[in-house]
Amino acid sequence: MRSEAELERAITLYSDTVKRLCWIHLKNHADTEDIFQTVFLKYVLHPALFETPEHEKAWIIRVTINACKDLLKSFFRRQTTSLQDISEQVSTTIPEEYSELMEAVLKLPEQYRRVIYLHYYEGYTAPQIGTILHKNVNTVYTMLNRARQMLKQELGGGHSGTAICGSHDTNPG
Amino acid sequence: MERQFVEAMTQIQAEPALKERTRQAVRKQIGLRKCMRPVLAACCLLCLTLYGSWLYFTPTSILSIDINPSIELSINRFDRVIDLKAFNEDGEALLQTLDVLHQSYTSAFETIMDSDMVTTCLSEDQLLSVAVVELDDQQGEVILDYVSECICQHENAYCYGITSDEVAQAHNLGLSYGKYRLYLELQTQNISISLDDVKQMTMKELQQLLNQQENEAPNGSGYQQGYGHQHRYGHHAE
Repeated sequence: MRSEAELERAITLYSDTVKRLCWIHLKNHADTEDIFQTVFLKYVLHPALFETPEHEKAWIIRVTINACKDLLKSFFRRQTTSLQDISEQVSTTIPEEYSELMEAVLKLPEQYRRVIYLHYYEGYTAPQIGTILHKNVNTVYTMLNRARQMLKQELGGGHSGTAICGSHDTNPG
Repeated sequence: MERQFVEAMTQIQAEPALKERTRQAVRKQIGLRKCMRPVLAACCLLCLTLYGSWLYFTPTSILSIDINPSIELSINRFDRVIDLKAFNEDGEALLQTLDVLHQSYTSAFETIMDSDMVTTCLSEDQLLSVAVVELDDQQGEVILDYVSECICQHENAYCYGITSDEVAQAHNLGLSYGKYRLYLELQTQNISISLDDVKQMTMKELQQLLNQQENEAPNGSGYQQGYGHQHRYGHHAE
């Protein structure tokens, strides 16, 4: 079992990452709180040592995604998210200037949102994302490309800057 | 747009209150787990103790020794004597002189065979009957082999194996398994004898009664020939 100091360090270091992952998966604040407790309790109880800080962060991301998936899979959570829900979620947490883009991101299928976040925000490459999500690298490339196309379609190409909709990390194969 | 996405995501941060609630919740969970640990350990220990006790104190074979003292030794799966019962006064007197509880059945049987009371009975040409009642697994066969080897030097001794089903009523009638087996033989030969008489009589007297009846019968075969053979497994010292 990890010490109190290690828990404190993990909360300081990874709270924002966990919160962002919750944001792209969930829309309920109470659920976010549940995920926080699950992730950090698992961290404290996790017996193995992490080889590097990157390894530790990847573990936190993986555990958070799994916890979100488990929550969404549960019987009582099986409900579709309406466009109004998305707008509310964005308007309450994100400044207005980013709302169009973030609503478009939230409208993406769950697995596409995940790879977009990991690639564009956390800066992971497709092979790294494949390792974290236990997916084939080509599958990750495909998901990234489809997510970009969907975003392009949703934003109508009128958005300033096209990096996220472009293909600067396309499948080398 | 990538820059905008990064800027937008950066706006999402965990509030200090959320962090604090997480800290408290995790500490509480850890505290509960720490409290539960000794409780769980105690439960595991209790379960192990109960299971171990059940394993140790469940008899798997019974050694019924009848000569004139009638006694029974309950033996567990670890070949230890876990209970001793006397079925007549001589048996009680014999048990008073023995200290064989929790010893191996081999050691206990040797002690019994070397006891003054049993050696006296054997020197007086009394009949020694040893019944091995198998309650569980194959232990009975091994015990019977051992007993057979031990008593082979005595001419007036015999042993045999029986299942608990064959002698299920013995203790209800206040008889040892060995004596009950002989009581059933007497009944089969239509010999009228009361339970009290059976309890009081020695094995030799009962056997003589049975032999007498069998010799009188047209096809009487005598006990030496017929006994034990009716059973699942049987050895005769002679």
